Amino acid sequence: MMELLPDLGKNAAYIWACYGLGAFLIGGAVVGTVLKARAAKAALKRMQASDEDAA
Amino acid sequence: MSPKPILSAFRQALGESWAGGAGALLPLGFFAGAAVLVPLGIGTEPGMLRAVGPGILWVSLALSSLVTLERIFQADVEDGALDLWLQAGAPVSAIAAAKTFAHWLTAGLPLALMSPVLALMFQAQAGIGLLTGALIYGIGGLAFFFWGGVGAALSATVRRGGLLIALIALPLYVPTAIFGSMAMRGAALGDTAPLLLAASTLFALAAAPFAMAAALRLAAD
Amino acid sequence: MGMLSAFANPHRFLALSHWLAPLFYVVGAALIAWGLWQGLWVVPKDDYQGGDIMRVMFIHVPAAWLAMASYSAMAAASFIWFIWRHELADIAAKAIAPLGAVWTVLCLATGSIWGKPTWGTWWQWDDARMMSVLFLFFLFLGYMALRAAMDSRQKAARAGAILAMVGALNVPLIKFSVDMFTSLHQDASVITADGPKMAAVYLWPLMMSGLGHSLLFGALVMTLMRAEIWTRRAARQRARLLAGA
Repeated sequence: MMELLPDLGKNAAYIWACYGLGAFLIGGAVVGTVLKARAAKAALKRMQASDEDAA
Repeated sequence: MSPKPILSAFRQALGESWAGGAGALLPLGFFAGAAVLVPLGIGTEPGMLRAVGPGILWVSLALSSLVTLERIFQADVEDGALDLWLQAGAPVSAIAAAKTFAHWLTAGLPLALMSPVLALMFQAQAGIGLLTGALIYGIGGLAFFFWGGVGAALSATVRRGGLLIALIALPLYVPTAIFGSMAMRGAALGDTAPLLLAASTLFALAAAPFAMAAALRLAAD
Repeated sequence: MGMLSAFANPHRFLALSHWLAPLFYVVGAALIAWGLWQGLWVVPKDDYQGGDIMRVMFIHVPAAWLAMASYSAMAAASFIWFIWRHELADIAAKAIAPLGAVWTVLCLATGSIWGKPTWGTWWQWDDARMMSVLFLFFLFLGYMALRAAMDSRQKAARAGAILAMVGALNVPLIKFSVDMFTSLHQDASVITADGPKMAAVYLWPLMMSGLGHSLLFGALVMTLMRAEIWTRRAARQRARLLAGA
């Protein structure tokens, strides 16, 4: 597995920290955004269903 | 448009901020207290105090302006004065500017006038520099009050909006803080720093009233 | 104007973003992955730029670009909303703010990590770029806090638009003053990763990463806008229901 990773020299830890942080922040933004959209759509569906019940 | 509503708002704001805060005593006390805390925190070595003194005074001035501005427009929203201005078609931007200017007169200018005393306590050299310093603090403080006024107008309907005003206004304070402390140090740029400070204050005077007016119209709805 | 009016209509926006957002996700992720592979595995290290550490630029520079572009986009959307009152423009501004703040934090954090081996410090007050991005971050924070403090959507939209425009008006002055502040301290050895002398071998992966981040950002903004449109529809439905009952 190790040979799959490039040799980034003495500052490798800093470089991986940057990309790890990027993956964490951007991944978090994607997950949070998608979850929010799902929740919003589900809430709208529920509301429309109860609207039809009322009608 | 008659200048009457502007003048009366100006007088009223003068009276409010003078009477409501024990005259200029409260902002002065806050300003001095904030500045005096610093040597207690970082030590009393004279060379260091002389180096950081102007910067400490800028920070204290910025904080004082934020503290005094919190309720500048809230009372107008609550007692309906704002609605009256809007119904009468009064120039809200001019009224907002007049009120902000009144607050600077009672709570900003006294701090600038007191700055030589604090500067001496921070080991500054006595001399004409103290007076030009007071002028520079006065000009910079005007910009602080006008940008802070935008934050105050935007959060006029927010209860306990003090922290919000600070968060909104602090990035807008950056140019004034930088040009101001450069002017105080008389560093590298020589004579251009005071001019840049004056220019950025003029920019605040020109732009902030319109933002305050837009924000106050929103607060009235 | 035809394209703009398509964006001014929530219904048409939902139809458009239904396929455009997934496309942006896929192409954006692919470009970012390609840039990552180029940046970490393929391109040679540049000893003039401090050796391997310059590989950080394939995430740092796109983040810096998006930090600035997103604030400009938010201010532009605010302006459009303020003048023409297109609801969708406000929805866009509201969606851009938290995402822009994320990329701004990413820019600051990667810049700081890059700084440690290069300057020997995590934070360089004399670097104008770091300071400007930091103040941009505060502008985003203030915008979000102000919107959150307002008690109605309409007020949040108006207050946010005013603040975003005031902020945009001040950004050039902030940038100028910070440049002036930092030029007092010439001893700081600032590496110029985005200098003009960049070799093509770095430029292509960098541009593709930048494009990929932009597309991903656009996809996320569209998704958040869709969520907001659905939320507002549900609120209207609820109000109708209550009024009818």
